[in-house]
Amino acid sequence: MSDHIDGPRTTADPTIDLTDLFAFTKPADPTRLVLIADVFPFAGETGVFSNAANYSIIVRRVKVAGLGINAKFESYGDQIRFNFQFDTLKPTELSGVNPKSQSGSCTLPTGEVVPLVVGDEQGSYSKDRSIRVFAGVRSDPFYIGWLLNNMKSVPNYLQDDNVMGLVVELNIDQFLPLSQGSVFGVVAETSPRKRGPESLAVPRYDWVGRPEQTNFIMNVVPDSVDLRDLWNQQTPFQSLPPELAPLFQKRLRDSFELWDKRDGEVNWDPAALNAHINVRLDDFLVFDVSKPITNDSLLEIEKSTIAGKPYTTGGGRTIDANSIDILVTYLINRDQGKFYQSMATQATQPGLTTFPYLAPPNKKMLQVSHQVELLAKPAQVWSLVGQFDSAWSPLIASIRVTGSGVGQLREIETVDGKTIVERLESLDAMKQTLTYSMVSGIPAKPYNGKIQVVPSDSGCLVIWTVDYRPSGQGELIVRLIIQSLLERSLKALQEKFGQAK
Amino acid sequence: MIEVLEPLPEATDGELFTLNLRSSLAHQWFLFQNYPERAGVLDSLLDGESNLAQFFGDYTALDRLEGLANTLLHAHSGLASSQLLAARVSAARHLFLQAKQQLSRAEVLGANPQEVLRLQLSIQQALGVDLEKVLAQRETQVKQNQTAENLIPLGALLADLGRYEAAQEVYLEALSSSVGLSPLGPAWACFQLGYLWGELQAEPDLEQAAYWYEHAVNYLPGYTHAAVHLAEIHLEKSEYSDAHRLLLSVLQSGDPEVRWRLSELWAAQGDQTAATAEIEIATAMYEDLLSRHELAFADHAAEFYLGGGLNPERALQLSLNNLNNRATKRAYALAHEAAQATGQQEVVAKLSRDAMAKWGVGYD
Repeated sequence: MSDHIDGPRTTADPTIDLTDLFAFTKPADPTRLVLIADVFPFAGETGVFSNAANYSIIVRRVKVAGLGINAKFESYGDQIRFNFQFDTLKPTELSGVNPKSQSGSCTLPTGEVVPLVVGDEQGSYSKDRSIRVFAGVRSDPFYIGWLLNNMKSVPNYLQDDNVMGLVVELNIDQFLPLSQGSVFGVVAETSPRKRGPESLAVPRYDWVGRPEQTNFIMNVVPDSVDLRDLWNQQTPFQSLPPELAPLFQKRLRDSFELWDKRDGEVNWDPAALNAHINVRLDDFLVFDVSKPITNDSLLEIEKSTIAGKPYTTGGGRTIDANSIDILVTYLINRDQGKFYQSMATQATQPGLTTFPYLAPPNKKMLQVSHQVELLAKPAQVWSLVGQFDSAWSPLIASIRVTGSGVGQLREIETVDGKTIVERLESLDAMKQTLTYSMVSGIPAKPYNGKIQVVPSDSGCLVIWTVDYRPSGQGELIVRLIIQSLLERSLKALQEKFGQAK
Repeated sequence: MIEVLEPLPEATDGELFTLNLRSSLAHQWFLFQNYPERAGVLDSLLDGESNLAQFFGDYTALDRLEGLANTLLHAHSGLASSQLLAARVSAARHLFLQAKQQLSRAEVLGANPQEVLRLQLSIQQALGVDLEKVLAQRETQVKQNQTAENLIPLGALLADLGRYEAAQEVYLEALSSSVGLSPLGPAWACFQLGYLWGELQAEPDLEQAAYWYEHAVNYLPGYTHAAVHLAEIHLEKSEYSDAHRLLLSVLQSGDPEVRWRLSELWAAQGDQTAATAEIEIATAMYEDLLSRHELAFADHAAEFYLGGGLNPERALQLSLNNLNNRATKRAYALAHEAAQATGQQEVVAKLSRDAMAKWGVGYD
């Protein structure tokens, strides 16, 4: 996985575990640059950021310092840092599922501090509106379809996952003037918020440049020491300490040689392999804002430079880029053979074309299901429960239907004085199945019900299933409401038709 | 003088961490239901639910883990991972014999030897078996990997063996070698230090114990055992409002001891009606837990029935069940105390003889 779960330090508190980094020009306006870092793999739906960490996206100017076997990218100049920090939870005026919310800020390279509220899709602007920032739970944009051990292709291994996204959108001209060059490197890092001699903390918890530096590259050599945590503590945009450089060089060499052998052929000659190692030791994602950054341009700048030719794209990394397959193909056959397309062709949700670019979080549906076996013929029971306007449940005081056929609405007055409005979604007399959705009245959205009558040995089974997501009330309360509705209603059917032994 | 460690390691705010723990755990259950083959899901579920039980007193976690183990054993009993998970769940429910059998099957099926050893050591430690051998192996583990997960069980074992100074050193080491920002490790180490000073030492030092419990609660406000022990100390010092605040903060945890201590608080303030009501709730909660996981709660419930629960007969029954399950020094002492409380002198005498034979300890 791109940079997910890449060491013990970050797995202990996954909010400091960087998963991905993206850099691309805004699709509708190439004068603006979008930088995105993700943290917290498997964040669930209500994740928040650590209040004890800095979350930084750092850009630095880069130049191509060598081509071919001497390929090298050199960073220079000031670091342009966007630093996010977050607070503890505070009571919020917004009523709803979360009675508290998290605030934070992004400190811009100018020193301006832009306050933000976690999860606010509108984001926050700098005073001159040249920079817009966002932080919150989003659908994990990363996708991967390879089992590494045997290179077996599988569907997206991160389907339905969420991460915590950090987004910065900025005016290129204002912050990265093209007059001084158009090529940049970018990294993201998480580091301790409190530092100094009195602190026990390490300088850095995690950092990410190009995708898969740690997991797919450093951690695939059998029977070798896990170097990922050590790597994560190195300083981006700086040369490795002399005592550690040979260690990482050897690990990259061992890894690249293994990758190269996976197709049974050698596509990487020693000189090219060396060049690739040297490029990878300077781990930052390279992009050129003067050229198009597309779904296919990931690593093109590095690849062309190692091949000894001028690059033609803006490199970088878009949200929808097929990162793993692009990388795996390059590692195995240096783009001289087939493209290694896995079964994973896109993330759970593709990226958005507008701010905040990361798709909304994936939400899980909950389910309540009950069934009873009745001493009655299926048709007899279906003639009752298959009627959308039938008040067969003892919980219904009255029922009023508007419209007809699929799409009709029924307004139910319950015996305890509540009003529930439901819409008929489908009615299949052959399969004796009725589906409906709830429009209002129960604190859940969506809320989809299905009632099915199935023949059984002694009569028939009535199976009632509701898939829903709580909204406005806690999970337990909503579950109890629905459970009670199903249980009491089906019990009434038992009393009417008799229960099978 | 209080042995302190300054500075204490930084950690993510406990409320934020807890929210994330629950959010991530809910997602892992979703993954288990929809993508059961995903690597890492089972371990994440086991770790997450175990944390809910250990730190937050949410014992419904044991129900969910029991269900998970049954599901796996039903569907994939021939997999080492199923047997290993089932063994870990059985051990958490103090079903040690069952855990050992499952662990043996896991080993035969090719489970990771390190994971097998880790659980073997936990079971032996819980049973009080071959403790010197367990100690040597725990020390080896710490030399190989100095993490809180290795250090704290070593400290607990040293404490079991009565080597309190060594235990304290190891706990302090666990605290200072904390990595990342998770508050779980530091909170756990602080709790163990509090427990060492407050409950294990021959002459408890409540000031020192309170200092560490306070830090444990600061790291993790929902840390139920830490909050309860700290509340007990406040109660002893007649600091009722502090005790009340702490107990209220973990009232929803599901741990009946919270209700028991709340009853003591009301009683200390002269409200016998409220105290009785809390005892009734605690009794119902203990019995509910015992009906589902008797051996996991037999010792705690026995202590309750010897105290506010006012039912020494039930205490004796439970403490003997606990002793039958694991004949540790503490289990003997508890059963002996319960037997004395019931006035059953024959049982008292037998327990004294047995404890002397097994552990070389006598009871006054």
